[in-house]
Amino acid sequence: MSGNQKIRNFAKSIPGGSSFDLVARKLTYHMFYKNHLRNNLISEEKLLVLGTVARSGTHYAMLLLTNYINSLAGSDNPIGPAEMNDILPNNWHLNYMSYHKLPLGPLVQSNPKRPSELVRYLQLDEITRSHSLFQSTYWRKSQILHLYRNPLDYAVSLFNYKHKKRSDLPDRCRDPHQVLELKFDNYCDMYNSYRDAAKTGKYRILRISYENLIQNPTFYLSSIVTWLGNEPNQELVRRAVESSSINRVQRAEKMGGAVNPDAKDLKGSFISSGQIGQWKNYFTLEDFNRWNLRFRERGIELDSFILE
Amino acid sequence: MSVVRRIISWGLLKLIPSDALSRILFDLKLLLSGLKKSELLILATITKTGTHYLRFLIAYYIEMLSLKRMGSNYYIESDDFIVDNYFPNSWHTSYTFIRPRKKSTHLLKLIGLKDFPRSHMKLRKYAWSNVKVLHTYRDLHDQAMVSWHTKYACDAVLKEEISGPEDLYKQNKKDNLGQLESFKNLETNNINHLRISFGQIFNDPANSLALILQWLGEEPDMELCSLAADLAQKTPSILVGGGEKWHRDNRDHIDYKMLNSFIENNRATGAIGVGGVLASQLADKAESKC
Repeated sequence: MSGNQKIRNFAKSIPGGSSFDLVARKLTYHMFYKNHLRNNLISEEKLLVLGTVARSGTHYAMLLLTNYINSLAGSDNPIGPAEMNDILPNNWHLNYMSYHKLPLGPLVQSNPKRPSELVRYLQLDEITRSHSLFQSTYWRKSQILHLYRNPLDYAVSLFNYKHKKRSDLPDRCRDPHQVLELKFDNYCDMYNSYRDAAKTGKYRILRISYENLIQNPTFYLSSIVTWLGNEPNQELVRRAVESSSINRVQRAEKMGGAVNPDAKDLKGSFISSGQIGQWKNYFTLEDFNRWNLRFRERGIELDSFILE
Repeated sequence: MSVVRRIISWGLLKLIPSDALSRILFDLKLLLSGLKKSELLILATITKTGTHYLRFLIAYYIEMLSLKRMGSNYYIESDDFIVDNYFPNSWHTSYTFIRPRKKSTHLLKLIGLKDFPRSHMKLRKYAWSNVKVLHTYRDLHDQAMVSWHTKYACDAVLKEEISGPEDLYKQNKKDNLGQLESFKNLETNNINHLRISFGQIFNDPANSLALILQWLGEEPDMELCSLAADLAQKTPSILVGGGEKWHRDNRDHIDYKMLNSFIENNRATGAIGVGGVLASQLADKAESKC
């Protein structure tokens, strides 16, 4: 356990210590984060964060957006994973605010790379991403696009992507059931933090399910562009969707373009089939009902998701 | 009582900036009504850009969702007046003490809300802080043409006030552009606002409804989104961007033959692009002036 974690745990254990985390966040927001963004020429309002549940279309959304702005810039060439990562090179929790390193820091793992000028086609200064819980202190003024996925397919996808391929993982799971067990609390906390933030009306947040995004990418890319205060060019939206297809990405991967260069130990493709309803290959109706009860205890209705 | 309220409001507006005054009145109204800001969804639209289309979609959705959850038959009939009964309030009157606030349908709780008032105005940065605001818009030339045909040309009284679509466009341009631009601005903090174009609603009503529900923090039931979209097709006036109560009702001074002719001629396209001629005329005039 890190020193920072020990301090946070100690603070939680003493009377009144639960506010310690909030104080640390407020202080770092005012004393570090705002200036850090300003020094990197980023206005908080013009920062778009893809705050997503893992395996829920983060990179697909990035690819759609980069292909769209690339077309707006007049290019006819489709963007692949490598170019996408050049245009959007930063992780919010690594390059802008390592909130999990509070209170002692370091508050960023490394300084952000300069975002591509292309993002200005969407009236933005930066598009970055994070698989963190909703950050009410740091994201109060920013644009937050949240992608999530039905938790059963999330478990299957995470199993296929990570646990099946990496035998060296210390917490390696042998099937999606174990993955869901391992990630249950994290998934619930993530999902609820964004859902609750959306319900308040205090934050600029747009939630889109992975299932809806992949079933209707043209509609949803257009909606994201509109939400950001722009008028979408429908022809370019269609072209961006075409350029971001799974087949094209897999071809680009084979030619050496990594979708997620941070996933260093990944073997094979970053993407699987992306299909909805893969959970049915692993979970029985009985399993479904059991998980449904557990999720319900956390305020989440499993059958409200798009399951097939 | 209504006259007294109007006089008081008029007097106060002379003393306090409109946004600040409406914030005070809004907060007071919420307090007296026992409502939280998070329980409201304000539908702030440019007129004739899908206000009523969205109201119908949401009304049908919550009605069917309620029945589905109860295990009842949720295949309902269309109802041209469902929105008037379900969502009776306008924000600019019911939340500023100009008119009494009426009770909206309790079914709104199914999507985490208690009221769904509407208004045609710019984004109110101060008054609407911490509120969810849904904004619809469309090409302003199309808007002027639809407005002319569905509000003025068919109304014996109003027709005398405006000479035609061009006049209407010019008269409303500043206000409509102000509304349009205010919702494009990303620098508005503390308000979660969603822009949605009439074209999106018209071309894909089911997904537009699903988008709104996700944005509100709900999981959309896609079957019900599709059914709501189907039911909405049964009210033709909303399909071109209209749908005011008197479009669905009967009023003495309205030429319904003329109104319905415009609606029928344009329901297949949503009247999208109908303002092209007007835009060309205005461009030609601007060029000849140069």
